[in-house]
Amino acid sequence: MAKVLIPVVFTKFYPPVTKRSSGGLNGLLDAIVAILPKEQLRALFDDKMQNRPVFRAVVEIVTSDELMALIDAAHQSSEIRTLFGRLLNHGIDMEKIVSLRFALVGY
Amino acid sequence: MKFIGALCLLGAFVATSLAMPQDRPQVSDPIFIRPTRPEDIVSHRHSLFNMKPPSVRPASRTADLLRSAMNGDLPKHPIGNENSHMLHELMEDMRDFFNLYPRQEIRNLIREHINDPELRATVKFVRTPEFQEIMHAIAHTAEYRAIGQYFATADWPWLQETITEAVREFDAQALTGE
Repeated sequence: MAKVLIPVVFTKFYPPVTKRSSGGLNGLLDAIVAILPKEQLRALFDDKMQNRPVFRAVVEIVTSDELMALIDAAHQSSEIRTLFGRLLNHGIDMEKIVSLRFALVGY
Repeated sequence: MKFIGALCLLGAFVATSLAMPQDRPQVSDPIFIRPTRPEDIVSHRHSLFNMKPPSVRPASRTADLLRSAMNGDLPKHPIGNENSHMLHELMEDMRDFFNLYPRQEIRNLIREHINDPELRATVKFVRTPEFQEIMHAIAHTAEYRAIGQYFATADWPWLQETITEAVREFDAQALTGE
């Protein structure tokens, strides 16, 4: 009986792990983004923007035209592109990491 | 595309802030980010108190936004000011988002992916000096410095620290459930 039950219980609480590639860090991030309750997060984001001054101020600052211009310039930089490329070679996609961060707050 | 670029650079900004070996906790693993320890917060506060303010702080749209948002009642360094409610309010907002996450499913996903050889190679790479060197190089590019300067000249140099602090706690809570 125990020989039957233990694997069943173990499998229920500890899903089987895989040794094959499931997309590395990018695969994991995609999987996490896929299960986020996007509509609820978006609704909460909109609510915060209307009712929470600090939250709204921070969002306005990090999406301001002034900062966007600086970020645009940085994005054009060959030096930064090269460095991001080196990270990408090791499975770290900065674009994806930040997309997840923004997805987490429903932006 | 412009927005994606913006996201990308903001990510580098925050990630570099987290990875730089200054007087802050080290991030040794990109998935299981260590929660902030109280002693780290204390030393971080001291570094903020010791920070020399720029002699001239031009008024900017950013400062105006924050002043109007808080009716001009903003302390200079809210992280080090126990009476400040800004970081507290921001963290409350973050926790509201956090409460919407399917945490158990996220933990299961991490458990499923943890033996992925590709992911393990990435984790191994993050622990190498090469990764530190790349993050260091990004932090020292002229473009990255200009972004840092934006926060400094916006009269709110602590904003970067506030966001970094919030993101660190947010990540720790979101991904480890602590």
